[in-house]
Amino acid sequence: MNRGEDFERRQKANPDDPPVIRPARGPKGVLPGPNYLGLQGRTAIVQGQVYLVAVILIAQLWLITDALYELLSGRSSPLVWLALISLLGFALALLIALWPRRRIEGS
Amino acid sequence: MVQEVNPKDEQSATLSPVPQEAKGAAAQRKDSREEWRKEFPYPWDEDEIVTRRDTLRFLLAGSGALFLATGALAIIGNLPTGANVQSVPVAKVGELAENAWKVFDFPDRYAQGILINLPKQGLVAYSDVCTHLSCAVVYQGDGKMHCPCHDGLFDASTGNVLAGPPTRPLPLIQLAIHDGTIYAVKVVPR
Repeated sequence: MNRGEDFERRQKANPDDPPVIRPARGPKGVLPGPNYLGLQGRTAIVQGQVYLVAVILIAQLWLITDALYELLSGRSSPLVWLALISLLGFALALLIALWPRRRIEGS
Repeated sequence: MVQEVNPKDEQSATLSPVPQEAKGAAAQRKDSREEWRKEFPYPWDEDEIVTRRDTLRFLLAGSGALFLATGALAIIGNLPTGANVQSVPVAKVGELAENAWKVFDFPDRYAQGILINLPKQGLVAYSDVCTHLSCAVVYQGDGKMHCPCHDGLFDASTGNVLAGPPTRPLPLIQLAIHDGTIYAVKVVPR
């Protein structure tokens, strides 16, 4: 075993692992996997959408709770900001829910 | 009793030539496997399966509804109010001795304020509703207002919280004096 091979073997955590195949890169970065438009790929995308929109929904629940608290406390100045942040969350949820659909279904 | 059947066994049974008795036994096992369907019929075709996309649409509709509700709260909170509230006479000048206090209704009979004559500061008035859980605060006589429910303490000269669970100061009530009468004019939320 020469020095080059020895150095190469020491770079791997497990020398018996197969060589790493790096994903293909396009002009805008890493390309999606070969089966991303298949059933499993689409399922994963929609599952990710559901998780992200659910997180936004939880944040909006916190916002409306705080808005009600401020309203009942007689302070109206933060209410507009809370409504704007909630609008931002809704717009983000729309973007997450609708944007990948054009990529997946081509509609 | 439902009997579990290994599909591999069933498949091998159909591929290999088997005697008549074995075929009868297999049919009996199949009957017993389908027995639960007879006992508990379930209309699978009529069931509404909720897909991931349905969940996504539901969450999206919820997000829009929450935004609309928050916007409605913002509109309600910024509606002009208090235009009809008039000054309310609460006491006569000189009625309260030093460190004396009284409770008055303001701006209507459903809300109350507390008027205190502090030794060096003179007359001050606050809403007497504790900012913790809305109990009525009382003046202790030592420059502090006390909420008896959870031992909240407020500074009588500023209305700020000194101790206890409240986190916000008491709303201030502006006063005006006219012809020897003290009027409560306006509640200032803080």
